[in-house]
Amino acid sequence: MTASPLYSGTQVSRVETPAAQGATELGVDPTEKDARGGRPRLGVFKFASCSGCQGVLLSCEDELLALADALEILYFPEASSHLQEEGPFDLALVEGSISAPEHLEQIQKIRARSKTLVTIGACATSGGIQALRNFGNLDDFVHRVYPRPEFIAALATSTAVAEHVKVDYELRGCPISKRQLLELITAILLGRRPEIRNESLCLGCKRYGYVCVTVAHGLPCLGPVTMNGCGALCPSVGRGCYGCFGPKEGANTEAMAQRMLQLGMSKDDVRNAFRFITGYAQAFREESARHE
Amino acid sequence: MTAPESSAAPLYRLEEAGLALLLEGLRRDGYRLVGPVVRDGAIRLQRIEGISDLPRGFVDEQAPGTYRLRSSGNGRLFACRPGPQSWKRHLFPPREPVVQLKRHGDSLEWRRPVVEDPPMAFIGVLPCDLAAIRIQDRVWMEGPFQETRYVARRRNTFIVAVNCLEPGQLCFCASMGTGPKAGQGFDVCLTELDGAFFLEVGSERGEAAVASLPLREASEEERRRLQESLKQARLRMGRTLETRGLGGTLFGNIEHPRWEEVAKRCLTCGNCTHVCPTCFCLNVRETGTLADGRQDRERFWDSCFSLDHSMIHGGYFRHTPKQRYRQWLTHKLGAWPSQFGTVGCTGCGRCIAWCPVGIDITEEATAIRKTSRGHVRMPQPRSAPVRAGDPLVPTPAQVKGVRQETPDTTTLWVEPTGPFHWKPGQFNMLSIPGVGDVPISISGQEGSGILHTIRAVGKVTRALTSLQPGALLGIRGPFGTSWPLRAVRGRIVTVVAGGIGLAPLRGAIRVMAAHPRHYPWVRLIYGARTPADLLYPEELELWRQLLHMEVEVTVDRATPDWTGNVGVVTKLLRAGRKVRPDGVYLVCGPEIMMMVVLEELRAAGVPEEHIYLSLERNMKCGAGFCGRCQKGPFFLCKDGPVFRYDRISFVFRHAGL
Amino acid sequence: MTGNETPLAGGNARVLEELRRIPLTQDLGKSRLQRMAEVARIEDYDAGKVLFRQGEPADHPRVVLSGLVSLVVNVPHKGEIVVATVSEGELLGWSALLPNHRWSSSARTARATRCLVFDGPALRELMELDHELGYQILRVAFEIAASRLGDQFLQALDMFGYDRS
Repeated sequence: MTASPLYSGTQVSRVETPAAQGATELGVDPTEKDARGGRPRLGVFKFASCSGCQGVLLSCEDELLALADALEILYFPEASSHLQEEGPFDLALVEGSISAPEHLEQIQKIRARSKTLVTIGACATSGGIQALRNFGNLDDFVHRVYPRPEFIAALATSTAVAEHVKVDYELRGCPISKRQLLELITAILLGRRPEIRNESLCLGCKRYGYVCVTVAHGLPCLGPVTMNGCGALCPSVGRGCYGCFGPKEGANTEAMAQRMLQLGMSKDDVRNAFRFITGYAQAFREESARHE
Repeated sequence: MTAPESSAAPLYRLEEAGLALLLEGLRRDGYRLVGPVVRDGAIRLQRIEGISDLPRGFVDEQAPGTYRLRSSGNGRLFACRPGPQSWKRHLFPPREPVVQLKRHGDSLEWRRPVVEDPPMAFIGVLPCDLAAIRIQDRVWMEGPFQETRYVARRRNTFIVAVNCLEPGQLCFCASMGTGPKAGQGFDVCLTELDGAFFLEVGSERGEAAVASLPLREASEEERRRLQESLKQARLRMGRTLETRGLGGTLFGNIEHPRWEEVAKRCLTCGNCTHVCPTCFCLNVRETGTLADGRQDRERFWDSCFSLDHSMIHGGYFRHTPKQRYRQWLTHKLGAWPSQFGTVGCTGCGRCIAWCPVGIDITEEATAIRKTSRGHVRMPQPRSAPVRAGDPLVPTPAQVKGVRQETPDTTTLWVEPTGPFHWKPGQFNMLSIPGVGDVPISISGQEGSGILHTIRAVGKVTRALTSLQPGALLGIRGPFGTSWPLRAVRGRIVTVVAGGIGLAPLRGAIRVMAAHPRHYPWVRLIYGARTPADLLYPEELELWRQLLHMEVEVTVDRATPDWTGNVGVVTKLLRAGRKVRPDGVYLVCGPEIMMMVVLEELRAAGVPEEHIYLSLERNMKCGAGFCGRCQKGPFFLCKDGPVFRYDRISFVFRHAGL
Repeated sequence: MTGNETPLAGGNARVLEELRRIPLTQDLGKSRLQRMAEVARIEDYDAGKVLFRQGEPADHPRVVLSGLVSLVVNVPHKGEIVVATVSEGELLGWSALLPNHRWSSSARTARATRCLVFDGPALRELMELDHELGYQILRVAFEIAASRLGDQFLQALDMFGYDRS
């Protein structure tokens, strides 16, 4: 598996923006921009996913207007019927996992037409919940679920976009965080380093002042090995983290699993806890395999 | 810190109704009451209205990785030990605006947002936590710089401490000298005993607050009971920690196998740092978005367990859990005394309880002590003169000129607002609104303009190197120590520079070049990657022509037209004459280069105190607040960047420190 | 060997003087130095002179007395690359101290250079006959090789080259 940028712990976007003071180019040569007279061009693409992450973009409300001012939206089928899929795109946001045969070619095209490619959400960054099929047999699932299985054309696995093309940046989560999305776009436009930290969920949880559900209630929680970003949503309502932002850098899943067993989880439960929304992300996948 | 228990300070008895009156009085005086409250199965420290909000009848049970509240079976208000939160979240909030930028036409103005919240009264501060507040005071208020928002909150905070008669399984305040009796720093201190409160006054403010309360002087018997209870409490500590000489032991055991063992359990989640009442590491981020159009900054709690904390121009120097856990423990128990004159631990036990896997700081420190393989002498804390102004607020400056030095390196000639005094070796923090700020060494001065030679390696440096004359930016500084130009007068000086490392040395070389009488023999050895990467070629040529200077240059990779040396600086250092043990050496370059140079100098018999180095880390604040630039017990931003090698040699050699 | 050779007659005293100065022969006694001097001569070269070529039998070890010599490696598709320079006092071509070796790089003077040139086979014979002398020479040569290896390692790290693709 190609390590995706965040999984290997580096968050350096490869957009090389020579940002003049407060300038808003998006890795675009200023002269080129002047000639075109346009703003940086955005494309929003979807593969196997529920569209929830695009929904986050659409729910940006106030900020959406500012974004629409700053960016020229060339391709965003969920939001507009004026579609220019040829691009080229300065920024491509890609939702969903590579799950069907036609995806393989489409993602290559998008990559070729995009200066900066950002994957958004658990599906695009880890394969998503549909990657559970990677642990089983596709045919079995298809025959059980669909009355006419012969109509189903699917790849044997559902995989992250970064396994197929070079990805410049990842936004994790199911769905992604609005704050992180705005931060990423703003940072790219202003030429600053996006403040999207690959740190444990616990740090966010503690900053909010929530009480640790593991320590105070004995509930298993994947927070210590999961990347922060959701605002510690589940712990804030007294539940353990499901790990939907995927493994944090250097996640010590082995020690985490030991603790979960100590808290009374069965081996099966531990396996299933890791094998969930981001279960095909490397660290979680490997840990779940240890509890087969 | 603990006051002698036999002190004959007046002790009063106060009934519960009287305590209610005290809180009411504080509220009337405009204080916002903050105290322990039962919430989500734990004690949280939050706004309260009166004693009815206090955790009456609750007590906690704590073990490594476990915390449970249960009924105490009595009506005591303050039976609980430290919970997941500490008072630092009220004095040093997890997130807080640092500076706001205002634009007036063409000019920029950064401002520190003032604290507008009402003063707080902390109700029920345990002795360990009172000590923690005093420790954080040293960080934010008692160094060369003042953290103005902390100072504003802290000065107005009224503290009602509560002595601890029932320490828990994870408590070791007696070992740390912080409890069970409250030390200095409270306005009023209570001991809850036999259904009443015994009250001491610690300040004039406290005196005024209790003046109208129905107090009665405690009887001899009551006084004796209280002393006895405190004595018993001292004996009931669940844990102990021997701190004598611990810093030297921890730093003498940097490669101890125990670090690897604990790293196997450590999740690097950072919970310990965020529940710790003294941990202060922070980071700063730009908060402005496209939508709000602002270019402000906020600071937020960071942790030495996050990878980002050890970032340095695009890379990280603390990758492994071992390095991160070691950083935390050695800082807390080892480096702190050298930095702030006190250990950074109060014995509250929070990091043991709230570690999801129950790693025990006392167990880890003790394990290393018991199997110690070495001991080093730790430096004494140094007092630095207090510096005026707010170190976090940039002042506007303008780019007067720009000079492309090499394909990726540019010198900015920057005109600060007002007079600017600096010494060679010091650095500035340069800010680009909305993008961020970075430490850049001062590489000289021309007229009233300050020179900064910047290599474009990250977002902010790219933005800086693309500024044009006339552009506005922000400047903070100068920060840090300087090259010992006075001390090396009359000596044979060898300057060893690598790559961009020549920039922080240029100011010093210029001084030495201009004063042959003081610096009779100066040898400059400079290495860069390729001939095109050599900084200041014309100036190198000028220096070369001076009678009292010798300039030798080498590159790693030659181009066809290059007829000079190929190889690394150590080769030049060795070549020709021998390295002179009586000379003075000023060294700056990549850390790995400096290590090789140091080895060369050691082999040649140069004493460590004849060598000075300039180090680099990810300085974020410049004032010793953010903790990101630590190297062992040193803050590179205020104790460095220039060090005499003998002071730091015991930590310099180790990767990941 | 086509350098401007200093005639051996009367040159022996100068060779001896240089042998006393250079690190390679530092710890040798007078009689051994004398024997070394008999198998050495001083040569002067203009800039750009090729002293030996990669792949050819390693014959004569040298010590640079002044000037600078580039070690050049020919890399297919990349042409000539200067991997290091050898300057004053340094041993040039240590592989010639060992029998049956070939040059691993070429050497070309970067500027006008003076070298002390040893007759390789004669020097090796001397080292074989007098192991004490042989040991001293090899010890210093090893030190030089070791520190050059250290330099190469540092060079290979490309320590200034971070964040550049």
